[in-house]
Amino acid sequence: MGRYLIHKLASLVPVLLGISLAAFVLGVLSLGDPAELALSQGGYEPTQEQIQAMAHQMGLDAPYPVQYLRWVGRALTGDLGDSYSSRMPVAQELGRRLPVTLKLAVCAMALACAGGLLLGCTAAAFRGRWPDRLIQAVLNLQLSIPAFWLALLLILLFAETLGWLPTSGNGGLRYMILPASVLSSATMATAARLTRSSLLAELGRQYCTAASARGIGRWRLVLRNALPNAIVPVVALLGNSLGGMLGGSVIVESIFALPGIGSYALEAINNRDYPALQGYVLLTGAVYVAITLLVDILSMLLDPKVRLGGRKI
Amino acid sequence: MTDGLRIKDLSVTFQLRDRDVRAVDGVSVHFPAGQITGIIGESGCGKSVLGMAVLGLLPPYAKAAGSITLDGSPLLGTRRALGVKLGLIPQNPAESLNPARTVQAHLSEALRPLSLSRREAKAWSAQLLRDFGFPDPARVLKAYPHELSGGMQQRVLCAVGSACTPAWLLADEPTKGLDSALRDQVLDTLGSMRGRGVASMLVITHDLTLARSLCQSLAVMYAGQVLEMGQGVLEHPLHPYTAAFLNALPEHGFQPIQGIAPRAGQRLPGCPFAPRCPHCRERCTRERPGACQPESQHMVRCFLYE
Repeated sequence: MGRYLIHKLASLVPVLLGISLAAFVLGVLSLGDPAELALSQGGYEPTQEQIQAMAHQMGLDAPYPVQYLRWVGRALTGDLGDSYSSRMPVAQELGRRLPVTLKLAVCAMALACAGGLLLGCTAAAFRGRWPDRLIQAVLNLQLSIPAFWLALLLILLFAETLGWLPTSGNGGLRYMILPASVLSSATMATAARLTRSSLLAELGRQYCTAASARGIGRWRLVLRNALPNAIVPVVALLGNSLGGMLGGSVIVESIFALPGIGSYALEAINNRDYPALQGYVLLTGAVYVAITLLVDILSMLLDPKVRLGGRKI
Repeated sequence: MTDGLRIKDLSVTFQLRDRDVRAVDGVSVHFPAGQITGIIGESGCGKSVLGMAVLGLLPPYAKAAGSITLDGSPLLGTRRALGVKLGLIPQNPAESLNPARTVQAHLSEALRPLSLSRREAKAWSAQLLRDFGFPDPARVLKAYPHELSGGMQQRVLCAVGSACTPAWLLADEPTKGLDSALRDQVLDTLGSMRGRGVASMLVITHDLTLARSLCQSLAVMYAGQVLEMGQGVLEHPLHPYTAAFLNALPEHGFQPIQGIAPRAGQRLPGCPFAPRCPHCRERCTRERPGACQPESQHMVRCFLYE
């Protein structure tokens, strides 16, 4: 297992390099001269000399590989450059916004885990009967409704008509209920479906027949016997979704006016704020990779065969 | 009441997408209590399906009709007797233990009907393992199935199946895929069950050596039906199928049975063995032979004995 981990960590190095390269190339390929862009925010028209001086100051006259190494070096020390639009350090802005996205992602993931497992287990326990059919219908609906539309419907019902929950904004947990529901909806449905099919595959195996012969009930069979084996692919799926959610959802954050990193990326795109976008790509890429690694380790720990190695007693 | 296990007109049909396959076809048989009864037959003759029907563990797409009673109370459609009155030693030990759970978890689950406390269950589990030849139960209890050898897995399953000392135990192909040393071990273990309070056993097998040395009486199945049942089936077979089957054994000269076995689920109006039977008469292809009892404790379904 130790060797596997080292191997896994080593394989992350090229991935991280690739992400940083992609983020850097994004800046290079961007339309317009960064020096001119940096100077001309707010309607100001800089002169040619000013632009050249700025380019030199920003190191843009150096060859690309040198620029890349300088940029990576600064990124490693936490300096992602200054935003063109706000003149503030990108790292500081991302640090301010990350907690909002984090809160949203954790809430959404909690909902997706709870709902996905609950619905999947119930559907599998009542296979082919009405609870199963009802759950399957709901899951199909969840998968086919687009997030932005679901968000508007929920706002209409729970915020406008019933007045139970705030429409938008950032605050306590109450503010997270609607955005997290929208963000988790599709993931919950996918997880529930995978849980159901994975459970049914396990329930058809010999050890479940043997467990039934001990006279145990339906729920004990599903939850205690089949689920520990069926959950492994579900954990992988949910982990990947968490990686995605931590990137911030542009749609959900925009609709619910949440100042997370997803809406920051959207603003950066609108303002052609390349340092901000580069910082965003670098951060979310690194987070995604880290989550994937954690999920890999968790999946391994769930399987006693891997956890204990080939030990025999 | 120790009437034993009574099966009456039992049919099990698997409803497949395009057709129905009848795996057990009108079986009526009585397994007396206090005996080890073997059910022998070729692969696909329906013996395992019969066993699963007795346990009520048929898959959802299987339909069972008829009646099964254990000491007078009906078994079909209820799982109340499982674990308490009726235990299972499943086939294929490596596949029959949950890979994600420890031996302790298996045993605790099997002991649940006794409603013991945690500590009692632990002590009881350890004692069970000791009974089944584990001198150091503490380590085995903490182990996961993959850490055990095949023979250990088999013995753990025996301990799990008989944890609540059910009066009846069903062993499904207990020696399938085991080498001869392990087979002898299983034989010993199964034999020791009766000393532990398990009075009656049903052993499903196609291992005739096991059947001969372990079982007091045997039921012979062919094409979903029990053709012959009783004591001394292997010593003096009555049914032409049993005789032909024994002649096909290596030690009896390897004479193959003429013809081919009916396809799974293929139904004949008469005796299922009629097309291959050397004694076949016109009546055999038309009519199902009823149960005859030419000897005491020995039933056969064949017109030869009417």
